[in-house]
This record gives sequence, structure tokens and C-alpha cells, in this order.
Amino acid sequence: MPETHSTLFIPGDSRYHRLHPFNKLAYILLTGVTVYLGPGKSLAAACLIILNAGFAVEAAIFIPLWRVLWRTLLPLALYMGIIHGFFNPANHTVLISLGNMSVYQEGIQFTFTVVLQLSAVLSASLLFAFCTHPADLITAVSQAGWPPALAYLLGSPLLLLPAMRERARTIQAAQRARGLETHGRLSQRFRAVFPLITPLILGAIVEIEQRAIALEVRSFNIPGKKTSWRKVTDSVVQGFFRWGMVTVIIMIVTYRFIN
Amino acid sequence: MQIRIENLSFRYLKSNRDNLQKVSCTIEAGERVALIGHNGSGKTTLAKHLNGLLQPQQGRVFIGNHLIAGESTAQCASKVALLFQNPDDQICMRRVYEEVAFGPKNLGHSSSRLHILVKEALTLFDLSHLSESNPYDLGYSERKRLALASITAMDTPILVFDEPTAGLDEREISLFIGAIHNLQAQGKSVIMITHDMDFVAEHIPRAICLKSGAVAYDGLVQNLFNNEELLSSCSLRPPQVFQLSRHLHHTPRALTPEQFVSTLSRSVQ
Ligand SMILES: Nc1ncnc2c1ncn2[C@@H]1O[C@H](COP(=O)(O)OP(=O)(O)OP(=O)(O)O)[C@@H](O)[C@H]1O
Ligand SMILES: [Mg+2]
Repeated sequence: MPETHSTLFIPGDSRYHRLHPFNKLAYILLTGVTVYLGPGKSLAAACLIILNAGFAVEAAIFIPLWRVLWRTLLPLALYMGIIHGFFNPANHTVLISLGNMSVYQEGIQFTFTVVLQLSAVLSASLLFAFCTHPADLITAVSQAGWPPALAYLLGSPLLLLPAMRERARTIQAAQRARGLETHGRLSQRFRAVFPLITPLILGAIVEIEQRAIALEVRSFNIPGKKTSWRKVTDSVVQGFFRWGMVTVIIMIVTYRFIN
Repeated sequence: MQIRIENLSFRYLKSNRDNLQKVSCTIEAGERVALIGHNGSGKTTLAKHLNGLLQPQQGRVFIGNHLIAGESTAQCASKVALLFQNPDDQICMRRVYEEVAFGPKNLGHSSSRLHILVKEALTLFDLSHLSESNPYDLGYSERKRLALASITAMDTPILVFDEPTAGLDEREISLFIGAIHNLQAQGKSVIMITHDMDFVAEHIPRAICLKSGAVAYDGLVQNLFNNEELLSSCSLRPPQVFQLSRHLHHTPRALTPEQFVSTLSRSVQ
């Protein structure tokens, strides 16, 4: 099976793909801090979203990124729009009147801001997940001289999640084959979750044990410096940008504390 | 209940070839059929079409004169029970008894009927003494038997087993043999996916052999083993007694050690 099946990673050779993993991580952090703590909330978020869209086009992952983004955020936007449009305590400017109920501008504005902020952070995170092979992240962390256990801790969720999703599908198929209705009405779907939990968690625990053994027989815990077969390229310019981003993050956080 | 498959073709989303190609066959009620073929020949894919886990892209599947199209797997489950290759994909309850009861409960059997079905299935696979245990405390072959018991307890007219004997020892295999004879006595059809040619030779009269997604052979097991070219093109090998009796020019060639010994003793006399 090709690698793409077991991770979120979409292979490519764009500039964004080749960026050092730490730069992409710093960028996610910078996005989050700018959007939530920086000045000019929605405008900053809108600018970052446009920037991320540009990156996504450059990395040739715009379509898959867009697909995940709207599937996650559209339900949230609708749900929040209804709740806040009608019931936000700050509501007083009527937009539309529906009988004795009204949709208010403040609630809609609030929803809009929240969705915009989330879009910015989510798109930056998805850019990272789609364009960074987990192995590169692990290599980068251990090359930076951090303990390999930390590298494993950071990298394994990226490798594990898609595998878990695949396993959940198989388990549900086996249960449907035994007459469990997993589609259809919401209550049925909800009930179908319980029998899924036990095999999924216990399967994961068994897998962890096997992984531990596999790591051990490959001398994971041996002392001394290990070399890596994978090379993650770094450069002075990238290092400059990385520390630049960290500086801006610190500045924004300080600004927030002072104000 | 009859199974009829007409011109069934299917290709997985990420595949670059048809994983099933114009498969047609009919399996009558009460028949015992082996589904064989090399790794990746499409056996599991075909099995998943029998209970709606996969929907045909071309062709049709009938279960007892009833076309299954757009029917959910849960609905098909009352007619076709499917054992998955890996028991751990299937086990989901905390107690062996509950695990076996899971299927028949979903199918809506009354509680007294449910109890009888579960007891029978547990006895059939020699699990009665473990009915209060946690399935995850059992060994691999016990879990495999548990999965087998959970499938037979559903009391469906058609049973499909994907590699049921893998990982079982002689005694456990003989339990399984007892179970399929029992099922046949009740007029149920059994389809068994397997790589174990000794088992097929001794216990299954008819074989359907897939080769790269197409039916390469459908007929008596005896005739399949006679066709050496076909066999090797499907990466299959007849059982050793069969090869031996071919070597000794016995006719008909023996499928079981008993047949071999009786032919041999006749030729010696
Ligand atoms: N989810 C999937 N996506 C893409 N291709 C698949 C998928 N599942 C199976 N295949 C491919 O379809 C073909 C048939 O697979 P299938 O599992 O039906 O084979 P099989 O005869 O059961 O093999 P085995 O004896 O190894 O169990 C194989 O080439 C396999 O690689
Ligand atoms: Mg298979």
C-alpha cells in the first residue's frame, strides 16, 4: 500500500513541502497568537486565510484542504449562526424579523469572527499535516538534540490517527455484518458508538505493546548519538525566519499582557 | 436460501484494475462451497458483496430471489452472516456470552430464543465453560472460536467464513467440521474462504476458484485437482495424498487418506 494511505501526508515537492518542520510549527503558533491575541482580529484572520490559501495552491493541496475545512466548519458556522443570531446577549440591531423572532447583527458578527479565527488556525494546521511527513518531524526534533522519546511522542499521533480511523471502519463493518444499524437515525448512530469503543481502545493498547517491543529490538533506548537516514534540510534564511516568528509571537503575547 | 451472482464487477477506489471481473455463479440452499484462489484474488471482496458491505458497480446479487441493491448490511445480516478474517475486528463485548448474543440480539430474536441460540453456539465450539470470561483474556484460537460461535448463533440461512481454520489446532478444526455438518443438516448454505487444500479435499465437495478477480473454475473439487495447469496458474497445490495417488496412477485419485489406503490395499491384494 502506498504511504499516503496510512498518514495525512500528501507527497509533493513544493517550497512549502521543503520548509523545515519547525518553521511550519512556528507558523501555526504565530497564526494562533495573531488571531486570538493580536490587534485587528477579523482583518488579521482574513489576511492569514488568504496567505494560507496561497500556500495551499503553491503546495498543490488546495482542494483536499478546502474539503476538510468546509466539512469541519460549515456545520459549526450554521449551528453557531442560529444560536447567536437569535440569542446572543449582546444582540440589539435587528437584521431580519421572522414573526416574533429576530436575527440580530451582533450575533452574526460574533459567529463570523469565531469562524474566521478558526479557519485561519485550522488551515495553517492542515497545511502542516498535509505537507509534513511525520518522519521528517521526528527527524527534525532529534536533530535539534531533543530526546528521541519526545520526537516519538510528537510524531506518533500523526502516524497513528489515520490507522485508527481505518481500524474503526473495519470494526464497524464487522458489527454491521452482525446486524448493528450504524447508519440512519441519529439515535441509532449514537448507540452504535458504544460497541466501537472497547475493540478500538483495547486494540490500540495491544498495538502500543507491540510498538514498544519493536522499538526495543531496534535499540531505541541505546545511549549515545544516533544518525538519521532521513535528512531534513535547514538554512540560515529559514533559521532567521523561524526566530523572527518566535520574536513576533513573544511581542504579541507581551502586548496582550500590557494592555 | 439460494445465492445468485450475475456478472458482478467491482473495482476499489484506489485500485488500478478490476478487483472482481464479471463473476457469475449460483449456490443452492444447503450447499457447501469453498472459495479459493491466490492472495489478492478477490475472495474477501466477493464475500463482502453477499451482505451489502460492498455494492456491485456492475452486475447483480440475489439472495433467495431477492435483489440486494441499496439494502443496508444490517438488513442483509438476517440472511447472510459473515465471519471476518481477523477475530479482533469483530469482538466488542466484555463477556463471552454477551459477545455471542450480540448478533442475534441485533436481529431481534426473542429472549428465550436468544438464550437457546447462544447456548447452542457456545457448546458447538466448546466455549460453554468460558461464557463468563472476558473475550480479551482468551488466547488467539479461543477468540477465533468465539468469533465462529458469534456468527453461527445468528441463525442465518447463509454463512460465509473468511479463513475460519487459520490458527486452529486439530481438535478445534474438528469442532468446526462438526459445526458445518450441523449447519448443513439444518439446510443452511456454507461458503468457506480458505487456503487449506487438505481441508477442502476432505470436507467440501464444490470449489469456486478466483484468479485476479475472475472465476477460473467452478465445479467439483476432484476435477479441479486433476487440472494441474489451472491449479498452478492459481498458485494452488493439491493435497499430498492426491499427489501421491496421482504418482501411483490410482483412479479415481484419492482426496482423503482413507480413500488412499483403501485403493492401495485393493491394488496390493
Ligand atoms: N480497500 C481497498 N482499497 C484498494 N484495494 C483493495 C482494498 N481491499 C482490497 N484491495 C485489493 O483488491 C484485491 C482483492 O483483495 P481481497 O482482499 O478480496 O483478496 P483475497 O482474495 O481475500 O486475498 P487474501 O487471500 O490475501 O485474503 C487485492 O489486490 C487487494 O490489494
Ligand atoms: Mg481475504
